[in-house]
Amino acid sequence: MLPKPLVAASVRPIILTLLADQAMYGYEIIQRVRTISDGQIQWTPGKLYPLLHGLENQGLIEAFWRPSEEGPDRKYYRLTERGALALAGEKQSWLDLNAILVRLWGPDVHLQPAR
Amino acid sequence: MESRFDLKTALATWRQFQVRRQGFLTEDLDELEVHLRAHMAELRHQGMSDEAAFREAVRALGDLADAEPAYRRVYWGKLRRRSQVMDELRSRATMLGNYLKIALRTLRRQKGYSFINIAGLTLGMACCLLLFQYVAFETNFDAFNTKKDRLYRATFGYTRGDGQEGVSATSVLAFGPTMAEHVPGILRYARILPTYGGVVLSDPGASDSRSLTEERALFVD
Repeated sequence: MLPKPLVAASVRPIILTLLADQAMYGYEIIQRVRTISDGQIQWTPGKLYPLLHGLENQGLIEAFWRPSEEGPDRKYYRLTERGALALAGEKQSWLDLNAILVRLWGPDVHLQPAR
Repeated sequence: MESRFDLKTALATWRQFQVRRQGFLTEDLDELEVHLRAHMAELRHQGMSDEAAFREAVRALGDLADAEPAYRRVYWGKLRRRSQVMDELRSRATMLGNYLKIALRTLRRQKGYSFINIAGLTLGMACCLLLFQYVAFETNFDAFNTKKDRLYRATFGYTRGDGQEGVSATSVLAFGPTMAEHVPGILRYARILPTYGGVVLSDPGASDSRSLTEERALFVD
C-alpha cells in the first residue's frame, strides 16, 4: 500500500486523467483505479464522492445522469475544458517532481524490479 | 419462518437513516444508492446472496458520519452552482420560524411545564455562576506562604474630615503596633513600605565607593 500522503496528493491527477478518456460513475472509478494500481490504491466512497463534487464545483468536471439497465440512473462525470487545462498543470508538476527524483537517484532507477 | 429479504425495503431503510445527515442532497443519496447497487451486483456475481451482498456493500461504504465533514465542505458550492442558495436560506429561515412558533405555542398552552423547565434552567445557571465566582475568588490568594492560614492583610476603613468614608489597602505608621497591642489575636505584625522608584545606596567614604540602585526595594519592619 502506498503511504497516505502520496495517495492523497495523487487523487486529483488520477481522476482528471481517467475522466479525460471516458465518462465514468463513482463505483467504476474506484474499480478502475484499484485495477490499474494492482490494489495499491483503494479509494473509499466517503472520500471520493465529496472530491468529485468539489471538482464539479470548481468546474473541472461536469456530471450527467445516464439510465442503467439494472435500476436507477447513474451519475456520470467527464472532464471539462477547464479540467483539461488543470490536468495539464498537474501532469507537468508531477513530471517535474519525477525528474528531480530521477536526477537524485540516477537514471537507472526505473530498471529496478517492481514490488 | 425466515422473512424474505427485500432489496427495496433494505435500501429504503438505509436511506431513512442517512436522510437526516447534514450536507447530503437527495441527489447525493441517490448517487450512494447507485454505488451500493453496483457493488452488490459484483458481489452477487461472485456468488453472494442478495442479503449478504447488501450487508457487505453497506459495510464497505463506511460510516457516512465520517464522510459528513467532506460533504458539508462542498455543500454550499453545490447550491451555488444550482442557484439554490436563496431557496436553501429561505427554507432554513422558515424552519427557524416554525421552531419559534412551536416554542411560543408550547409556552402558551403548557404554562406549568414551561415554568418548571425555565425556572430549573435559570436556577441551574445561577448556581453555576455563583460557584464559579466563589472558586475564582478563593483561589485568587497567594498560596506560597506555609503559614498562609494565619496570615492576614490589614485594610483600613476611614472617615475623612469632610465626612467622606472609604476603604484603603494602605494605612498609617501607628496602625500595626496599635492593633497588635489592643487585639489579643494578633501574634506578630509587619509593616511594608514600597519605595516607588527604587533606592540608591552609596557610601562615599568607602574605599571602593560605588553607587548601587535597586528598583524593587521594600522598607519592612
